[in-house]
Amino acid sequence: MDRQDVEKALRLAGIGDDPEKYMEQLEKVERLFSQLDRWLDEAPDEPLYHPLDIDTEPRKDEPITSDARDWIEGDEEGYVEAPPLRRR
Amino acid sequence: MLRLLDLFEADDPISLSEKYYERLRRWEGRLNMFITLREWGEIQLVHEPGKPLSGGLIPIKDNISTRGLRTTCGSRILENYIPPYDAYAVERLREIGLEVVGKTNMDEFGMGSTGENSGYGPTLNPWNTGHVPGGSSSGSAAAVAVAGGAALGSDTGGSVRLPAAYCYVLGLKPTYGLVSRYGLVSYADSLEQIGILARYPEDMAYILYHISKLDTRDMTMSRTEAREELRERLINLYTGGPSGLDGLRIGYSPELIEMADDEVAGEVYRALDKLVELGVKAEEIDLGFMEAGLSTYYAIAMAEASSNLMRYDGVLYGSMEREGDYWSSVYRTRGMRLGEEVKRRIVYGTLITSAGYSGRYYIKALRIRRWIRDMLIERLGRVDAVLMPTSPSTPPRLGEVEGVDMYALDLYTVIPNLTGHPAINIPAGFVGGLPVGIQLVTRYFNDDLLIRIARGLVGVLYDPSKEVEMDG
Repeated sequence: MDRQDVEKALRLAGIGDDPEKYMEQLEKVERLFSQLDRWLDEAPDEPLYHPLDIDTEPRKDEPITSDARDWIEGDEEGYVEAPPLRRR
Repeated sequence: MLRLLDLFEADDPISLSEKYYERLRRWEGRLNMFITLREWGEIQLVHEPGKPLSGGLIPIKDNISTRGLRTTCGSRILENYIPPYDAYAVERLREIGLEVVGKTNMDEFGMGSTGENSGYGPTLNPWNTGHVPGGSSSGSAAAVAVAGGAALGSDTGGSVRLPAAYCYVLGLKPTYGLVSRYGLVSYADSLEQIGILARYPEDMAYILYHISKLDTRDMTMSRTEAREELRERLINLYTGGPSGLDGLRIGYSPELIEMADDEVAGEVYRALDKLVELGVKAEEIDLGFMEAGLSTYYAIAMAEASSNLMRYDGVLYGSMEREGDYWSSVYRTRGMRLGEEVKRRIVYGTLITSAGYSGRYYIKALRIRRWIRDMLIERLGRVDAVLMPTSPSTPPRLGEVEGVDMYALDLYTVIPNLTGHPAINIPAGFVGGLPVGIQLVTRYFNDDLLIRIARGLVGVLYDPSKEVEMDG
Protein backbone atom coordinates (compact mmCIF):
# COMPACT_ATOMS: atom_id res chain seq x y z
CA MET A 1 0.00 0.00 0.00
CA ASP A 2 1.31 3.45 -0.84
CA ARG A 3 0.34 7.09 -0.79
CA GLN A 4 -1.76 6.72 -3.95
CA ASP A 5 -3.79 3.96 -2.30
CA VAL A 6 -4.38 6.20 0.71
CA GLU A 7 -5.48 9.10 -1.52
CA LYS A 8 -7.90 6.78 -3.28
CA ALA A 9 -9.24 5.44 0.03
CA LEU A 10 -9.77 8.99 1.34
CA ARG A 11 -11.75 9.82 -1.81
CA LEU A 12 -13.83 6.64 -1.57
CA ALA A 13 -14.48 7.23 2.12
CA GLY A 14 -15.48 10.86 1.53
CA ILE A 15 -12.88 12.25 3.93
CA GLY A 16 -11.09 15.48 3.15
CA ASP A 17 -7.72 15.10 4.86
CA ASP A 18 -3.96 15.10 4.28
CA PRO A 19 -2.86 11.61 3.07
CA GLU A 20 0.54 12.07 4.68
CA LYS A 21 -1.04 11.78 8.14
CA TYR A 22 -1.94 8.17 7.40
CA MET A 23 1.42 6.98 6.10
CA GLU A 24 3.29 6.41 9.37
CA GLN A 25 0.49 4.38 10.98
CA LEU A 26 -0.10 2.57 7.68
CA GLU A 27 3.26 0.83 8.00
CA LYS A 28 2.30 -0.41 11.45
CA VAL A 29 -1.11 -1.59 10.21
CA GLU A 30 0.51 -3.49 7.36
CA ARG A 31 2.90 -5.11 9.83
CA LEU A 32 -0.06 -6.14 11.98
CA PHE A 33 -2.00 -7.55 9.04
CA SER A 34 1.02 -9.35 7.61
CA GLN A 35 0.84 -11.58 10.71
CA LEU A 36 -2.29 -13.14 9.20
CA ASP A 37 -0.06 -15.27 6.98
CA ARG A 38 1.33 -17.02 10.08
CA TRP A 39 -2.01 -18.70 10.68
CA LEU A 40 -3.35 -19.18 7.20
CA ASP A 41 -2.24 -22.78 6.79
CA GLU A 42 -4.41 -23.72 9.76
CA ALA A 43 -7.51 -21.88 8.54
CA PRO A 44 -10.33 -23.55 6.59
CA ASP A 45 -11.21 -22.13 3.17
CA GLU A 46 -14.65 -20.97 4.23
CA PRO A 47 -14.74 -17.45 5.70
CA LEU A 48 -16.76 -16.78 8.85
CA TYR A 49 -18.57 -13.50 8.38
CA HIS A 50 -20.70 -13.69 11.46
CA PRO A 51 -20.74 -15.72 14.67
CA LEU A 52 -24.49 -16.33 14.34
CA ASP A 53 -24.12 -19.76 12.79
CA ILE A 54 -23.07 -21.04 16.19
CA ASP A 55 -24.40 -24.44 17.10
CA THR A 56 -25.74 -24.18 20.61
CA GLU A 57 -26.87 -27.05 22.74
CA PRO A 58 -28.71 -26.51 26.00
CA ARG A 59 -26.37 -27.02 28.92
CA LYS A 60 -26.72 -30.36 30.69
CA ASP A 61 -23.98 -30.18 33.28
CA GLU A 62 -25.68 -28.00 35.82
CA PRO A 63 -29.17 -28.83 37.06
CA ILE A 64 -31.15 -25.92 38.36
CA THR A 65 -31.70 -26.43 42.06
CA SER A 66 -32.88 -23.09 43.37
CA ASP A 67 -36.38 -22.63 44.69
CA ALA A 68 -36.79 -20.06 41.96
CA ARG A 69 -37.31 -22.89 39.49
CA ASP A 70 -40.82 -23.55 40.76
CA TRP A 71 -41.96 -20.02 40.14
CA ILE A 72 -40.83 -19.69 36.57
CA GLU A 73 -43.49 -19.66 33.92
CA GLY A 74 -43.39 -18.81 30.27
CA ASP A 75 -45.11 -15.68 29.07
CA GLU A 76 -47.77 -15.82 26.36
CA GLU A 77 -45.12 -16.12 23.65
CA GLY A 78 -43.35 -18.92 25.50
CA TYR A 79 -40.40 -16.88 26.73
CA VAL A 80 -39.18 -17.03 30.28
CA GLU A 81 -40.84 -14.49 32.56
CA ALA A 82 -39.39 -13.91 36.02
CA PRO A 83 -41.60 -13.89 39.08
CA PRO A 84 -41.82 -10.61 40.96
CA LEU A 85 -38.98 -9.89 43.36
CA ARG A 86 -39.74 -10.86 46.96
CA ARG A 87 -38.46 -8.97 49.95
CA ARG A 88 -35.72 -10.86 51.79
CA MET B 1 -21.44 2.16 47.06
CA LEU B 2 -24.91 1.61 45.61
CA ARG B 3 -26.14 -1.93 45.22
CA LEU B 4 -28.90 -1.75 42.62
CA LEU B 5 -31.08 -4.47 44.12
CA ASP B 6 -31.12 -2.52 47.41
CA LEU B 7 -33.46 -0.07 45.69
CA PHE B 8 -36.09 -2.77 45.78
CA GLU B 9 -35.58 -3.35 49.50
CA ALA B 10 -35.40 0.33 50.42
CA ASP B 11 -38.35 2.19 51.96
CA ASP B 12 -37.20 5.35 50.22
CA PRO B 13 -35.30 4.41 47.04
CA ILE B 14 -35.33 8.00 45.82
CA SER B 15 -33.14 9.15 48.72
CA LEU B 16 -30.68 6.34 47.85
CA SER B 17 -30.66 7.63 44.28
CA GLU B 18 -30.10 11.18 45.47
CA LYS B 19 -26.97 10.10 47.36
CA TYR B 20 -25.82 8.13 44.31
CA TYR B 21 -26.39 11.17 42.10
CA GLU B 22 -24.49 13.48 44.47
CA ARG B 23 -21.55 11.11 44.38
CA LEU B 24 -21.57 11.03 40.58
CA ARG B 25 -21.84 14.82 40.44
CA ARG B 26 -18.94 15.24 42.87
CA TRP B 27 -16.66 12.98 40.80
CA GLU B 28 -17.77 14.30 37.43
CA GLY B 29 -15.76 17.50 37.74
CA ARG B 30 -12.65 15.45 38.32
CA LEU B 31 -13.05 12.54 35.89
CA ASN B 32 -15.20 13.72 32.93
CA MET B 33 -17.30 10.56 32.99
CA PHE B 34 -20.34 11.97 31.22
CA ILE B 35 -20.97 13.67 27.90
CA THR B 36 -24.45 14.49 29.14
CA LEU B 37 -25.20 14.39 32.87
CA ARG B 38 -28.78 15.38 33.59
CA GLU B 39 -29.55 17.90 36.31
CA TRP B 40 -31.14 16.45 39.46
CA GLY B 41 -34.12 18.78 39.14
CA GLU B 42 -34.76 17.65 35.59
CA ILE B 43 -34.96 13.94 36.49
CA GLN B 44 -38.49 13.01 37.48
CA LEU B 45 -38.03 10.09 39.85
CA VAL B 46 -41.19 8.45 41.10
CA HIS B 47 -41.63 5.33 43.15
CA GLU B 48 -44.02 3.00 41.33
CA PRO B 49 -44.76 -0.21 43.23
CA GLY B 50 -45.20 -2.24 40.01
CA LYS B 51 -41.67 -1.45 38.89
CA PRO B 52 -39.11 -3.18 41.13
CA LEU B 53 -36.26 -0.70 40.73
CA SER B 54 -38.36 2.44 40.36
CA GLY B 55 -36.69 5.49 41.76
CA GLY B 56 -33.34 4.17 40.54
CA LEU B 57 -30.83 5.66 38.11
CA ILE B 58 -28.50 4.15 35.54
CA PRO B 59 -25.79 5.64 33.28
CA ILE B 60 -25.89 4.61 29.63
CA LYS B 61 -22.98 4.68 27.19
CA ASP B 62 -23.39 7.44 24.64
CA ASN B 63 -23.67 5.10 21.64
CA ILE B 64 -26.89 3.54 22.95
CA SER B 65 -29.97 5.43 21.78
CA THR B 66 -32.05 7.25 24.37
CA ARG B 67 -35.27 8.91 23.32
CA GLY B 68 -35.06 12.69 23.67
CA LEU B 69 -31.58 12.56 25.20
CA ARG B 70 -28.55 13.54 23.10
CA THR B 71 -26.53 10.58 21.85
CA THR B 72 -23.17 11.64 20.41
CA CYS B 73 -21.18 8.37 20.31
CA GLY B 74 -18.31 10.50 21.62
CA SER B 75 -18.14 12.22 18.23
CA ARG B 76 -18.36 15.87 17.29
CA ILE B 77 -20.15 14.89 14.09
CA LEU B 78 -23.16 13.84 16.22
CA GLU B 79 -22.98 16.63 18.79
CA ASN B 80 -26.60 17.65 18.14
CA TYR B 81 -28.13 14.23 17.51
CA ILE B 82 -31.18 13.42 19.63
CA PRO B 83 -32.62 9.94 18.93
CA PRO B 84 -36.39 9.67 18.45
CA TYR B 85 -36.48 6.24 20.11
CA ASP B 86 -34.95 4.18 22.92
CA ALA B 87 -32.67 1.21 22.34
CA TYR B 88 -34.41 -2.01 23.32
CA ALA B 89 -32.11 -2.47 26.32
CA VAL B 90 -33.06 1.01 27.53
CA GLU B 91 -36.76 0.26 27.02
CA ARG B 92 -36.36 -2.80 29.22
CA LEU B 93 -34.56 -0.84 31.94
CA ARG B 94 -37.33 1.76 31.95
CA GLU B 95 -39.87 -1.05 32.34
CA ILE B 96 -38.27 -2.08 35.62
CA GLY B 97 -38.26 1.50 36.81
CA LEU B 98 -34.73 2.74 36.09
CA GLU B 99 -34.26 6.26 34.77
CA VAL B 100 -31.30 7.29 32.61
CA VAL B 101 -29.08 9.59 34.68
CA GLY B 102 -26.86 10.55 31.78
CA LYS B 103 -24.85 9.46 28.76
CA THR B 104 -21.34 8.34 29.50
CA ASN B 105 -18.12 9.39 27.83
CA MET B 106 -16.50 6.99 25.39
CA ASP B 107 -13.88 6.63 22.70
CA GLU B 108 -15.44 7.98 19.53
CA PHE B 109 -17.82 5.37 18.03
CA GLY B 110 -16.18 2.78 20.32
CA MET B 111 -12.81 3.05 18.60
CA GLY B 112 -10.23 3.09 21.33
CA SER B 113 -8.90 1.11 24.26
CA THR B 114 -7.97 3.94 26.61
CA GLY B 115 -10.91 6.37 26.84
CA GLU B 116 -8.78 9.16 25.39
CA ASN B 117 -10.26 9.22 21.87
CA SER B 118 -13.41 11.11 22.76
CA GLY B 119 -14.48 14.29 21.02
CA TYR B 120 -15.45 15.54 24.49
CA GLY B 121 -12.11 15.07 26.26
CA PRO B 122 -10.69 12.01 27.96
CA THR B 123 -12.15 10.32 31.03
CA LEU B 124 -9.60 9.85 33.83
CA ASN B 125 -9.01 6.76 35.90
CA PRO B 126 -10.69 7.16 39.31
CA TRP B 127 -7.92 5.23 41.11
CA ASN B 128 -5.17 7.44 39.69
CA THR B 129 -6.08 10.38 37.51
CA GLY B 130 -2.71 10.31 35.76
CA HIS B 131 -3.76 7.05 34.10
CA VAL B 132 -6.39 6.06 31.54
CA PRO B 133 -9.64 4.36 32.62
CA GLY B 134 -9.66 2.05 29.58
CA GLY B 135 -12.08 2.19 26.70
CA SER B 136 -14.18 2.47 24.94
CA SER B 137 -16.83 2.32 27.72
CA SER B 138 -14.64 4.63 29.81
CA GLY B 139 -17.32 6.77 31.44
CA SER B 140 -19.57 3.81 32.30
CA ALA B 141 -16.70 2.00 34.05
CA ALA B 142 -15.56 5.07 35.95
CA ALA B 143 -19.14 5.85 37.06
CA VAL B 144 -19.62 2.34 38.47
CA ALA B 145 -16.20 2.53 40.13
CA VAL B 146 -16.99 5.72 42.03
CA ALA B 147 -20.69 5.30 42.79
CA GLY B 148 -21.62 1.63 42.34
CA GLY B 149 -24.87 0.47 40.79
CA ALA B 150 -24.63 -0.63 37.18
CA ALA B 151 -24.20 0.92 33.75
CA LEU B 152 -24.61 -0.15 30.15
CA GLY B 153 -21.64 -0.21 27.82
CA SER B 154 -20.92 -1.84 24.48
CA ASP B 155 -18.14 -4.28 23.67
CA THR B 156 -16.72 -4.65 20.16
CA GLY B 157 -13.22 -5.86 21.03
CA GLY B 158 -13.04 -5.49 24.81
CA SER B 159 -14.73 -2.13 25.30
CA VAL B 160 -16.60 -3.26 28.41
CA ARG B 161 -14.00 -5.64 29.88
CA LEU B 162 -10.91 -3.50 29.46
CA PRO B 163 -12.26 -0.40 31.26
CA ALA B 164 -13.81 -2.72 33.84
CA ALA B 165 -10.33 -4.14 34.51
CA TYR B 166 -8.74 -0.70 34.71
CA CYS B 167 -11.46 0.67 37.02
CA TYR B 168 -11.95 -2.34 39.37
CA VAL B 169 -15.51 -3.27 38.39
CA LEU B 170 -17.24 -6.27 36.84
CA GLY B 171 -17.68 -6.09 33.07
CA LEU B 172 -19.61 -8.59 30.97
CA LYS B 173 -19.70 -9.06 27.21
CA PRO B 174 -22.68 -11.38 26.71
CA THR B 175 -22.90 -14.17 24.13
CA TYR B 176 -23.45 -12.72 20.66
CA GLY B 177 -27.19 -12.74 20.01
CA LEU B 178 -28.25 -12.65 23.67
CA VAL B 179 -28.95 -8.92 23.96
CA SER B 180 -30.75 -6.93 21.29
CA ARG B 181 -28.56 -4.50 19.37
CA TYR B 182 -31.63 -2.46 18.41
CA GLY B 183 -30.67 1.13 19.11
CA LEU B 184 -26.96 0.45 19.55
CA VAL B 185 -25.09 2.63 17.06
CA SER B 186 -23.14 0.23 14.88
CA TYR B 187 -19.38 0.21 14.59
CA ALA B 188 -18.75 -3.46 13.68
CA ASP B 189 -22.01 -5.41 13.68
CA SER B 190 -20.63 -8.92 13.68
CA LEU B 191 -18.46 -8.25 16.72
CA GLU B 192 -20.37 -6.03 19.13
CA GLN B 193 -22.85 -6.54 21.93
CA ILE B 194 -24.34 -4.31 24.57
CA GLY B 195 -22.65 -5.23 27.85
CA ILE B 196 -23.03 -4.53 31.56
CA LEU B 197 -20.70 -2.95 34.10
CA ALA B 198 -21.57 -3.42 37.76
CA ARG B 199 -20.10 -3.69 41.24
CA TYR B 200 -22.25 -6.59 42.47
CA PRO B 201 -22.73 -9.88 40.57
CA GLU B 202 -26.43 -10.06 41.50
CA ASP B 203 -27.03 -6.61 39.98
CA MET B 204 -25.35 -7.79 36.82
CA ALA B 205 -27.49 -10.95 36.67
CA TYR B 206 -30.67 -8.93 37.25
CA ILE B 207 -29.89 -6.40 34.52
CA LEU B 208 -28.82 -9.12 32.09
CA TYR B 209 -32.01 -11.05 32.70
CA HIS B 210 -34.08 -8.03 31.81
CA ILE B 211 -32.20 -6.78 28.77
CA SER B 212 -31.84 -10.25 27.24
CA LYS B 213 -35.52 -10.76 26.53
CA LEU B 214 -36.08 -11.55 22.85
CA ASP B 215 -36.53 -8.51 20.64
CA THR B 216 -37.94 -9.35 17.25
CA ARG B 217 -36.62 -6.07 15.82
CA ASP B 218 -33.06 -7.39 15.97
CA MET B 219 -32.54 -10.16 13.42
CA THR B 220 -29.16 -10.99 14.98
CA MET B 221 -30.74 -12.14 18.23
CA SER B 222 -30.54 -15.85 18.92
CA ARG B 223 -33.84 -17.74 18.95
CA THR B 224 -32.44 -20.88 20.60
CA GLU B 225 -33.73 -22.74 23.63
CA ALA B 226 -30.31 -22.25 25.19
CA ARG B 227 -31.09 -18.55 25.44
CA GLU B 228 -34.23 -19.08 27.46
CA GLU B 229 -32.56 -21.66 29.68
CA LEU B 230 -29.82 -19.16 30.41
CA ARG B 231 -32.44 -16.60 31.41
CA GLU B 232 -33.89 -19.08 33.88
CA ARG B 233 -30.48 -19.58 35.45
CA LEU B 234 -30.02 -15.81 35.71
CA ILE B 235 -33.13 -15.64 37.86
CA ASN B 236 -31.54 -18.23 40.15
CA LEU B 237 -28.43 -16.09 40.41
CA TYR B 238 -30.11 -12.92 41.58
CA THR B 239 -32.56 -14.74 43.82
CA GLY B 240 -29.74 -16.48 45.69
CA GLY B 241 -29.46 -19.83 43.90
CA PRO B 242 -26.38 -22.06 44.11
CA SER B 243 -23.07 -20.25 44.13
CA GLY B 244 -20.45 -22.96 44.73
CA LEU B 245 -17.64 -23.44 42.25
CA ASP B 246 -16.66 -26.92 43.42
CA GLY B 247 -15.80 -29.22 40.53
CA LEU B 248 -15.65 -26.53 37.84
CA ARG B 249 -12.82 -27.05 35.36
CA ILE B 250 -10.92 -23.94 34.39
CA GLY B 251 -8.28 -24.00 31.66
CA TYR B 252 -5.27 -21.72 31.49
CA SER B 253 -2.20 -21.37 29.33
CA PRO B 254 1.02 -20.25 31.07
CA GLU B 255 2.42 -19.08 27.70
CA LEU B 256 -0.58 -16.84 27.17
CA ILE B 257 -0.66 -15.50 30.73
CA GLU B 258 3.06 -14.75 30.65
CA MET B 259 2.68 -12.57 27.57
CA ALA B 260 1.39 -9.99 30.08
CA ASP B 261 3.63 -7.87 32.31
CA ASP B 262 5.11 -9.88 35.19
CA GLU B 263 3.09 -8.21 37.92
CA VAL B 264 -0.17 -8.71 35.97
CA ALA B 265 0.66 -12.37 35.35
CA GLY B 266 1.36 -12.71 39.08
CA GLU B 267 -2.12 -11.44 39.94
CA VAL B 268 -3.67 -13.90 37.47
CA TYR B 269 -1.86 -16.83 39.08
CA ARG B 270 -2.95 -15.57 42.50
CA ALA B 271 -6.56 -15.56 41.26
CA LEU B 272 -6.12 -19.08 39.92
CA ASP B 273 -4.88 -20.22 43.34
CA LYS B 274 -7.97 -18.71 44.97
CA LEU B 275 -10.21 -20.52 42.50
CA VAL B 276 -8.46 -23.80 43.29
CA GLU B 277 -9.03 -23.15 47.01
CA LEU B 278 -12.73 -22.86 46.16
CA GLY B 279 -12.71 -26.33 44.62
CA VAL B 280 -12.02 -25.46 40.98
CA LYS B 281 -9.88 -27.87 38.98
CA ALA B 282 -7.24 -25.92 37.08
CA GLU B 283 -6.08 -27.55 33.85
CA GLU B 284 -3.24 -26.40 31.64
CA ILE B 285 -4.37 -26.21 28.01
CA ASP B 286 -2.98 -24.91 24.73
CA LEU B 287 -4.46 -21.52 23.81
CA GLY B 288 -1.75 -20.56 21.33
CA PHE B 289 -4.36 -19.80 18.65
CA MET B 290 -5.39 -16.71 20.62
CA GLU B 291 -2.26 -14.94 19.38
CA ALA B 292 -3.97 -14.76 15.98
CA GLY B 293 -6.71 -12.59 17.44
CA LEU B 294 -5.34 -9.07 17.13
CA SER B 295 -4.54 -9.06 13.41
CA THR B 296 -7.76 -10.93 12.58
CA TYR B 297 -9.89 -8.66 14.72
CA TYR B 298 -8.52 -5.38 13.41
CA ALA B 299 -8.84 -6.41 9.75
CA ILE B 300 -12.51 -7.29 10.28
CA ALA B 301 -13.34 -4.38 12.60
CA MET B 302 -11.85 -1.80 10.23
CA ALA B 303 -13.66 -3.30 7.25
CA GLU B 304 -17.02 -3.19 9.02
CA ALA B 305 -16.34 0.29 10.40
CA SER B 306 -15.61 1.71 6.96
CA SER B 307 -19.04 0.57 5.82
CA ASN B 308 -21.01 1.50 8.96
CA LEU B 309 -19.61 4.99 9.28
CA MET B 310 -20.43 6.08 5.72
CA ARG B 311 -23.77 7.35 7.02
CA TYR B 312 -22.15 10.24 8.91
CA ASP B 313 -22.03 12.72 6.08
CA GLY B 314 -23.83 15.69 7.58
CA VAL B 315 -26.99 14.85 5.60
CA LEU B 316 -28.29 11.48 6.77
CA TYR B 317 -26.72 12.00 10.20
CA GLY B 318 -24.56 14.66 11.72
CA SER B 319 -23.95 18.36 11.41
CA MET B 320 -22.62 19.64 8.09
CA GLU B 321 -19.64 21.92 7.51
CA ARG B 322 -20.83 23.72 4.37
CA GLU B 323 -18.28 24.58 1.68
CA GLY B 324 -18.90 24.84 -2.07
CA ASP B 325 -20.96 22.05 -3.61
CA TYR B 326 -22.49 19.03 -1.92
CA TRP B 327 -19.49 16.72 -2.23
CA SER B 328 -17.05 19.37 -1.02
CA SER B 329 -19.24 19.80 2.04
CA VAL B 330 -19.31 16.06 2.72
CA TYR B 331 -15.50 15.78 2.43
CA ARG B 332 -15.03 18.77 4.68
CA THR B 333 -17.60 17.58 7.23
CA ARG B 334 -16.08 14.11 7.59
CA GLY B 335 -12.54 15.46 7.51
CA MET B 336 -13.19 17.99 10.25
CA ARG B 337 -15.75 16.35 12.51
CA LEU B 338 -14.50 12.77 12.72
CA GLY B 339 -11.61 12.11 15.09
CA GLU B 340 -8.17 10.89 14.00
CA GLU B 341 -8.56 7.28 15.16
CA VAL B 342 -11.98 6.98 13.51
CA LYS B 343 -10.67 8.36 10.22
CA ARG B 344 -7.71 5.97 10.38
CA ARG B 345 -9.95 2.95 10.78
CA ILE B 346 -12.30 4.10 8.02
CA VAL B 347 -9.42 4.72 5.60
CA TYR B 348 -7.59 1.46 6.34
CA GLY B 349 -10.92 -0.42 6.30
CA THR B 350 -11.72 1.09 2.91
CA LEU B 351 -8.28 0.08 1.65
CA ILE B 352 -8.46 -3.54 2.74
CA THR B 353 -11.92 -4.07 1.29
CA SER B 354 -11.09 -2.42 -2.03
CA ALA B 355 -10.37 -4.33 -5.23
CA GLY B 356 -6.92 -5.89 -5.13
CA TYR B 357 -6.62 -5.86 -1.35
CA SER B 358 -9.64 -7.74 -0.01
CA GLY B 359 -8.06 -11.14 -0.78
CA ARG B 360 -4.78 -10.08 0.76
CA TYR B 361 -6.16 -9.21 4.18
CA TYR B 362 -9.94 -9.24 4.70
CA ILE B 363 -10.82 -12.68 3.35
CA LYS B 364 -7.80 -14.19 5.07
CA ALA B 365 -8.96 -12.67 8.34
CA LEU B 366 -12.44 -14.16 7.91
CA ARG B 367 -10.98 -17.61 7.27
CA ILE B 368 -8.77 -17.35 10.36
CA ARG B 369 -11.79 -16.19 12.31
CA ARG B 370 -13.49 -19.52 11.57
CA TRP B 371 -10.36 -21.40 12.69
CA ILE B 372 -10.16 -19.40 15.93
CA ARG B 373 -13.83 -20.04 16.64
CA ASP B 374 -13.53 -23.77 16.00
CA MET B 375 -10.45 -23.97 18.21
CA LEU B 376 -12.13 -22.15 21.09
CA ILE B 377 -15.24 -24.33 20.86
CA GLU B 378 -13.00 -27.39 20.97
CA ARG B 379 -11.08 -26.13 24.02
CA LEU B 380 -14.30 -25.22 25.82
CA GLY B 381 -15.42 -28.79 25.29
CA ARG B 382 -12.61 -29.87 27.63
CA VAL B 383 -13.05 -27.22 30.36
CA ASP B 384 -15.92 -25.09 31.61
CA ALA B 385 -14.08 -21.78 31.17
CA VAL B 386 -10.67 -20.41 30.30
CA LEU B 387 -8.80 -17.89 32.40
CA MET B 388 -6.34 -15.19 31.32
CA PRO B 389 -5.53 -11.56 32.09
CA THR B 390 -8.00 -9.00 30.79
CA SER B 391 -5.18 -6.66 29.81
CA PRO B 392 -1.46 -7.30 29.32
CA SER B 393 -0.66 -4.33 31.58
CA THR B 394 -2.02 -2.08 34.29
CA PRO B 395 -3.72 1.10 32.98
CA PRO B 396 -1.19 3.10 30.92
CA ARG B 397 -0.43 6.72 31.73
CA LEU B 398 -2.45 9.33 29.86
CA GLY B 399 -0.89 9.80 26.41
CA GLU B 400 1.43 6.82 26.82
CA VAL B 401 -0.03 4.71 23.98
CA GLU B 402 -1.83 5.86 20.85
CA GLY B 403 -2.67 4.86 17.30
CA VAL B 404 -1.82 1.34 16.24
CA ASP B 405 0.39 0.81 19.33
CA MET B 406 -2.77 1.04 21.44
CA TYR B 407 -4.22 -2.07 19.74
CA ALA B 408 -1.89 -4.32 21.75
CA LEU B 409 -3.96 -3.60 24.86
CA ASP B 410 -6.72 -5.71 23.27
CA LEU B 411 -4.55 -8.83 23.04
CA TYR B 412 -6.78 -10.88 25.36
CA THR B 413 -10.17 -9.33 24.77
CA VAL B 414 -10.74 -9.54 21.00
CA ILE B 415 -11.14 -13.33 20.74
CA PRO B 416 -14.63 -13.58 22.31
CA ASN B 417 -15.83 -10.86 19.93
CA LEU B 418 -14.55 -12.79 16.92
CA THR B 419 -16.18 -16.01 18.11
CA GLY B 420 -19.31 -14.70 19.85
CA HIS B 421 -18.47 -16.32 23.21
CA PRO B 422 -19.37 -14.61 26.49
CA ALA B 423 -16.54 -13.15 28.59
CA ILE B 424 -16.25 -11.30 31.87
CA ASN B 425 -13.72 -9.15 33.69
CA ILE B 426 -13.47 -9.80 37.41
CA PRO B 427 -11.32 -7.44 39.49
CA ALA B 428 -8.38 -9.37 40.92
CA GLY B 429 -6.36 -6.84 42.88
CA PHE B 430 -4.03 -3.88 42.60
CA VAL B 431 -0.46 -3.43 41.43
CA GLY B 432 1.15 -0.15 42.43
CA GLY B 433 -2.26 1.26 43.30
CA LEU B 434 -3.70 0.41 39.87
CA PRO B 435 -6.39 -2.24 39.29
CA VAL B 436 -5.75 -5.58 37.58
CA GLY B 437 -8.52 -7.82 36.24
CA ILE B 438 -8.87 -11.41 35.13
CA GLN B 439 -10.90 -12.48 32.14
CA LEU B 440 -12.93 -15.67 31.97
CA VAL B 441 -14.46 -16.97 28.75
CA THR B 442 -17.02 -19.75 28.62
CA ARG B 443 -19.38 -21.58 26.25
CA TYR B 444 -22.18 -19.92 24.33
CA PHE B 445 -25.15 -18.96 26.52
CA ASN B 446 -23.33 -19.87 29.74
CA ASP B 447 -23.03 -16.21 30.66
CA ASP B 448 -24.51 -17.01 34.06
CA LEU B 449 -21.53 -19.23 34.85
CA LEU B 450 -19.25 -16.21 34.53
CA ILE B 451 -21.39 -14.21 36.93
CA ARG B 452 -21.48 -17.19 39.27
CA ILE B 453 -17.69 -17.35 39.30
CA ALA B 454 -17.61 -13.62 40.06
CA ARG B 455 -19.98 -14.23 42.96
CA GLY B 456 -17.77 -17.05 44.21
CA LEU B 457 -14.79 -14.70 44.26
CA VAL B 458 -16.53 -11.95 46.23
CA GLY B 459 -14.79 -11.62 49.57
CA VAL B 460 -12.08 -14.01 48.46
CA LEU B 461 -10.43 -12.02 45.69
CA TYR B 462 -12.80 -9.18 44.86
CA ASP B 463 -14.35 -6.61 47.19
CA PRO B 464 -17.36 -4.99 45.48
CA SER B 465 -17.76 -2.45 48.27
CA LYS B 466 -14.22 -1.07 47.93
CA GLU B 467 -14.46 2.72 47.82
CA VAL B 468 -12.32 4.99 45.67
CA GLU B 469 -10.81 7.82 47.70
CA MET B 470 -11.20 11.24 46.16
CA ASP B 471 -7.53 11.96 46.89
CA GLY B 472 -6.39 8.65 45.38
